[in-house]
Amino acid sequence: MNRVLVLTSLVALVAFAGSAFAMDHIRAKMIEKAKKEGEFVVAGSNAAEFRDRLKGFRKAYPWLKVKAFDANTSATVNRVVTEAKAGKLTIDMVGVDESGTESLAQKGLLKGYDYPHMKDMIGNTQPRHGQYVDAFMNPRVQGIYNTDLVKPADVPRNWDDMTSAKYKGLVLLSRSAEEFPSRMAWLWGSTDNLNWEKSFDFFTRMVKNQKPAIGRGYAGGTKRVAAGDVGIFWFPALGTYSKLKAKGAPVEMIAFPKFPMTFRSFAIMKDAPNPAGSWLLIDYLMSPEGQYEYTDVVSAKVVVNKNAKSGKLAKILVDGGATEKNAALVEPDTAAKIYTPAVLKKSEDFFFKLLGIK
Amino acid sequence: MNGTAITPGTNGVRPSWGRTVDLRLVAFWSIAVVIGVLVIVPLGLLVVNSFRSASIGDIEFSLKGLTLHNYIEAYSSPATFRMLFNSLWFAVGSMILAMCMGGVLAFLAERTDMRWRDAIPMMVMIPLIMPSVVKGIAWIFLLSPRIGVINQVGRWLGLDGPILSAYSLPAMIWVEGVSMSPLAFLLIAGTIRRMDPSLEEAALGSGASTWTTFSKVLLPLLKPGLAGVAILLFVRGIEAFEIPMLLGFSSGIFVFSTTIYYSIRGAFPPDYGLGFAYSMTLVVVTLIAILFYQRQLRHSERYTVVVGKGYRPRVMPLGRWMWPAWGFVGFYFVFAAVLPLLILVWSSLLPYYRPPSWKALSAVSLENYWELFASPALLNVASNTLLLGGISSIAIMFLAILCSWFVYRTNITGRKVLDVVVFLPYAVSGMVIGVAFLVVFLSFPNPLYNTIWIIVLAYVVNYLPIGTRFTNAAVVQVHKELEEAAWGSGAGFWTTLRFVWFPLLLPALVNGFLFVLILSFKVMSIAMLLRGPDSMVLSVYLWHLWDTGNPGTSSALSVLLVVVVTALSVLARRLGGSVAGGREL
Repeated sequence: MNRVLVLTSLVALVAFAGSAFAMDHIRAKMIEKAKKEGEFVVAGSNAAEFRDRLKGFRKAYPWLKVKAFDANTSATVNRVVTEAKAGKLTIDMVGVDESGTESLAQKGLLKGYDYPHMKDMIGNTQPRHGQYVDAFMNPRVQGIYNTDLVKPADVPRNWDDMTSAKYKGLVLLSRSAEEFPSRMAWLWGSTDNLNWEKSFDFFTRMVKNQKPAIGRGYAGGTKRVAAGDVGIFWFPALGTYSKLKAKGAPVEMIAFPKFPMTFRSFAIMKDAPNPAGSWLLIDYLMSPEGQYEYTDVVSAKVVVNKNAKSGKLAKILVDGGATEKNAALVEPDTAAKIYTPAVLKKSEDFFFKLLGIK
Repeated sequence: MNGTAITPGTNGVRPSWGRTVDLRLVAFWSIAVVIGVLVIVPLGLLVVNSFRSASIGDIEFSLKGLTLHNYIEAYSSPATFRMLFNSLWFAVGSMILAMCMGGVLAFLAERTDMRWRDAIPMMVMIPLIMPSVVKGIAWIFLLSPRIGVINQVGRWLGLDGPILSAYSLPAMIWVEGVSMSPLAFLLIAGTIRRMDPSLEEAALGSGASTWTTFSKVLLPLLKPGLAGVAILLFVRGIEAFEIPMLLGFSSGIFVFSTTIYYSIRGAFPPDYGLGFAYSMTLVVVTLIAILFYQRQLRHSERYTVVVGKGYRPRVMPLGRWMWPAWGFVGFYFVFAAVLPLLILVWSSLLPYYRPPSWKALSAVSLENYWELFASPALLNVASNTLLLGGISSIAIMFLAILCSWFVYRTNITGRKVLDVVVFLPYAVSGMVIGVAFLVVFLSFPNPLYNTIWIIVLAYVVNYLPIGTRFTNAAVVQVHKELEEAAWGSGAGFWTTLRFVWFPLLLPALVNGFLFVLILSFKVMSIAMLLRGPDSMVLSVYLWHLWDTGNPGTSSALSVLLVVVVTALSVLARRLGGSVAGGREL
């Protein structure tokens, strides 16, 4: 029995050492290649902050020039699709919401690579096709509110509260939340049977009862909540929230079970002119150091590496209730089914019509 | 040129100009081809592909598969008619507001005995040089429904709702109108100055009252000139991008420019065909308006008086209207310049925006400025902006002076066509030129896509008509006798260029250069469409900071931008003045 145990342990040790050696070998090759490339272009949300704030990465690869193209998920996807179709791809990697990387994967525009830290990832967080990595969980809570304008007793506690007419005149809804009808249809239905009826009814009641102000993007809406221009912002992204909260702004989250939790994904383009530098950045972001630094200084996300600690921006989310426990995780297999062009179009068409945009 | 007897280098004896004449022809055709390609190819591609089911990757000069699909899609949507209504209402409303404000200011400054009226042009200069994106940000702080300073005053006065919400069409009209009022002031003041005063004097001499003279004589005389100004402002309004982007785009109020931008850069997936169809509609609208403007301009010149020595237009006494007049000027200055600047300074000192209060005062710091200066992006953005502004301004003024010279000083066949081609982009908005360049540089192999150089080229095309407005006037004013005298004295082409033309044209070149340089700091639309990862410029960076939730740093950058553009404008006036002074000496 002991012999078997020792033998098994030895085999595991050799396999582990072999794997570590293989990964070190890949990394060494990528470093050599990146030295020749000298630079790479990253596009997506907070792209300029990767360039400017990830000191650990800069320290590890000081010779590597990072160029950044800051844009939200849809603008990034539009740009890379356009450039790829025109044969003028200048962007090497993207860092966007999982819906964006999944749609690029479905168009065959991405290339999968091996990354050293994959074994340390929390289960069910990585897509099986390997075309991109889900580097962080991206909680999208129900809302944020201004504590001077909304008293604790008036904070919505459930989905029905969110459609209440008592918030009329206080509420902001972003037109960029056009994916949310599909996400809610998934949340209230299943991956194979989206509950469009319930989702559409929810949004219709919300808009009819509250006549929300319409915004665009998420940062602007969050600023307006912090400044007291609006009381509640439904379905915000939490990057700006955590930064303003850290500066002492009077904002809090509205978070109750279950809200859809997606991922911030990273991917290298199939025809990337400089893939090696991009690989090194993803390698760094998946490492415990990268996970900590990103969630500490770049953006409020939840780490996916089991060995990583959360940075201060991530802690603000956790303190506010945006925890994995409260979330319904949109796992990669689900993403492949609900981020299809048909589903997204149905969601967008309904949402824009409801807001009077189309 | 009407059959010059003396040509360069003849010394009145032997016409040895054969080689130089060839060089002139070579230079003319080189420039004509370069400008022709830069203007005609992008716009032509845009026209053709607005009639094709265009998607990037298969855009080409082809007449196969022409269809009205894009236009049908565009004009079968109710959203398009809402956009058309918004655009027209926005353009007409802001034009009327600008005309009223600028017109009253011009009249007070030019034709009344208002005390300290010489200060009015200086007061108008501040809102003129403030970039539109800066004004837009400032007005969001001033007119936010709940926390905007002006709406808070309204609430303090007992009003239930906001006086005006920043995220509404009337607010867009107000901000654009105030924004365009300095231009209206300058144009209307010019029209008033050129007016023949003898009819007015005759009316007053015949016993007509001041009001009768104003309404029956002065106004009809001014009408053609005012109509021209109104058309020009309408064109500016219908093309406007920054204010609709900041105030309207966020809240779903679309106009032409933001709809085009959204179709190409915002929609998912992008709809190029729709963007092209909207672009063409905008081109048609602006082209018609510009043709009307040209017609009005010719018409108004009939009313122009050539001012003789000792001429002074009659000054109307304001009497008891003096203080209301100053009240209006004060109101204008406070709303157009003081309040926007103060609110930006206030916001730039706060970690996150809060309305002015004693409590918020405790949070004041210079942190946003330090953050801005510590950002590696700022240096890159500033150098890109200087590079873009500097190179495009030099290129524009170089091409402009050559175009003006060929058009007004030679009889080369084709020079009139060159004049028309150079002027064509004047009737095309910056947004459409941006779209056209994007299409060209995505469709053909080239190393310029996503670099600063594609923006430089688009700027050259967009601002060349403005450059030629400076150089045309200067070239026409330099009398042919001067160059003929130089040629008669044996000077060659280059000597004449160096010692006669260049010193005489320098003021126009310097003024044109600085004017275009300032525009390159202010205007956002072209760079917003064409920027790549390494070619961000200041105006777009400012928008980006604002859009990504950094009100403090975007306010700090706005304040710095106003300082830089003001300094450049002062420099422009000083240099223009000193160079002009040198010429006169």
